[in-house]
Amino acid sequence: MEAGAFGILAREMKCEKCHKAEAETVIHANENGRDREYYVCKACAAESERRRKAAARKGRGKPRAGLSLTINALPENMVPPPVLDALMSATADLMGSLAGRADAAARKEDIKCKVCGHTWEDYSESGLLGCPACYHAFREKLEDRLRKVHVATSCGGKVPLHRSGEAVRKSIEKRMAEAVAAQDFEEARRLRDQLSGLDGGDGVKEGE
Amino acid sequence: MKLHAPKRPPHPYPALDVSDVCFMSGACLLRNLAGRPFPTKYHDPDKEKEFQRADGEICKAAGEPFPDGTRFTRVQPPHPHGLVGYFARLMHLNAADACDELAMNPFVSSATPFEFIFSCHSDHLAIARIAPGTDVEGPAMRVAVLEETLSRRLNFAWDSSLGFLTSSPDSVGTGFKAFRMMHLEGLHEIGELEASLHGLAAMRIKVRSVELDGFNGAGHIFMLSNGRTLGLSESELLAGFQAATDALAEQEINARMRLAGELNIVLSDTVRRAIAIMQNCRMISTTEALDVLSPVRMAASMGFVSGASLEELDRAMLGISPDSGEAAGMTPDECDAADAARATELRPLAMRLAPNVRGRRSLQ
Ligand SMILES: [Zn+2]
Ligand SMILES: [Zn+2]
Repeated sequence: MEAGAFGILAREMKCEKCHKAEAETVIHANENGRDREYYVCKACAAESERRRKAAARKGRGKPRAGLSLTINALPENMVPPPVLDALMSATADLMGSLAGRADAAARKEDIKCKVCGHTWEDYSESGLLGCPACYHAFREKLEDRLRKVHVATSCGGKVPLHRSGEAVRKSIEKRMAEAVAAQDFEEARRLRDQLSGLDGGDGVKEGE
Repeated sequence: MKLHAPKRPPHPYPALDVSDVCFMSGACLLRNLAGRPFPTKYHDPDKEKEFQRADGEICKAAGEPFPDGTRFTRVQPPHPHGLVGYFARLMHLNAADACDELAMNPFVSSATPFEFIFSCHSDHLAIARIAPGTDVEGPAMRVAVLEETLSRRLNFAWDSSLGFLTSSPDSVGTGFKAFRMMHLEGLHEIGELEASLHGLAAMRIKVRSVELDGFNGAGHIFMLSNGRTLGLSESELLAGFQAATDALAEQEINARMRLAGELNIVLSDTVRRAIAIMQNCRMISTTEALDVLSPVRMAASMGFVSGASLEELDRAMLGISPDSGEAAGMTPDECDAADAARATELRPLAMRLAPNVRGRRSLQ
């Protein structure tokens, strides 16, 4: 390329990774918790994408629970002076309890579906659930996602044939009672409409 | 929020319509068998029996004749190549991939082309109708009819609060997806593509683009589908999707008309450069091939370029497989060879291309 011939200096930036090819795109990297932008060439962008995917597959790059780093880093043959020793053991206790708490939190965090064994972490990685029962196991945690994607948390669509009739009526009535008890009158009204729709229909009903 | 769709300015060329902007359309219903793990779990070796049972059940149900006489027969799922295959993979609607991974797979196809019942990566059943053209309503009604028959033969996972349960919470409720594959080169050239795509996001239309080598939106071909599946009925979802994508098509047509008129020099420059690259290149990557075919295909739809039919250009464009190359595990040498082969393949077509009489006046 003719240097500066057409005043296109901006295009002559070298790739920040290989420093050979022209930078043509920007990638975002997270380094030590900080977001950074790199202007890179096509090849380096592709390489970065491959690495990101590989890391995601292996589950690397995730923050880990537990804080055991500094205490164990001391070489074994080094004898700490008494004051430092006391300080360190106190710190170790504190860290141990912190790590324990973090572990417990992580364990509690990772809810498991009793039917298929799918964990919340499995879902977080793939975006996919393991079986119909997962919806109940993760109900609370899924609400945010449902609200974000669908703006709604309950269905307004078709009711399957085999579930029409008594089964559906019973389940709707139960949920209506729950909604009234929780003073969620909007939901109760919606369910009431769904019920009245069942009366006239042939079992296949389009929601409101 | 509504997409801004002003009236089309008057123009001396044959009117463009949605079909000039939309490659193909379709609809799909996702269903799962009640009380069974989703195909996401089949990778567990101990779940293999579960899979075979589901497989047998689905094939039996789909193999019986349908009330209107339609018959689905079990066939080996084709490996869809090109852009359609690429998007099918992005949308988790690729039966062939699932088949490879899961060793066996129910995939049935009707005698009428474009209708399929298959297992995908994530869900037991995808009942789909995908066809060239702009119609989403026909396919949506058709898959609903097929689903109703299947629902008499199979017990689908359903919850009175959440509706049909799918392996992704993003398709739970109706499990209904309408889609259109659209070509938005005009909006890109006038610099309004991003704003239009943002408008779609606000209306919860999901946009998928060709992503390659860190570049996004190669060829300015996008697969649009409804992002919401819960809280509204199938017909409301369909109506919303159709209105949003129709408005987008209108915007794209307006952009093309502006390019034919006041922004003529932009169009002329892009098209002439693209033809020159195609005629002279000796190596061309998938990204670049899509990027040069895109303006040429647009100009051809506007009647400015002769030498190749729109169908030919569509075939050339849709035949490009964005997920080949290094991403597919090819060595750099193999990639170079593929790029060279692509250039050789495109050249004869490119040599025939030229702005026609109308184009010569318009593409100054
Ligand atoms: Zn580089
Ligand atoms: Zn489960």
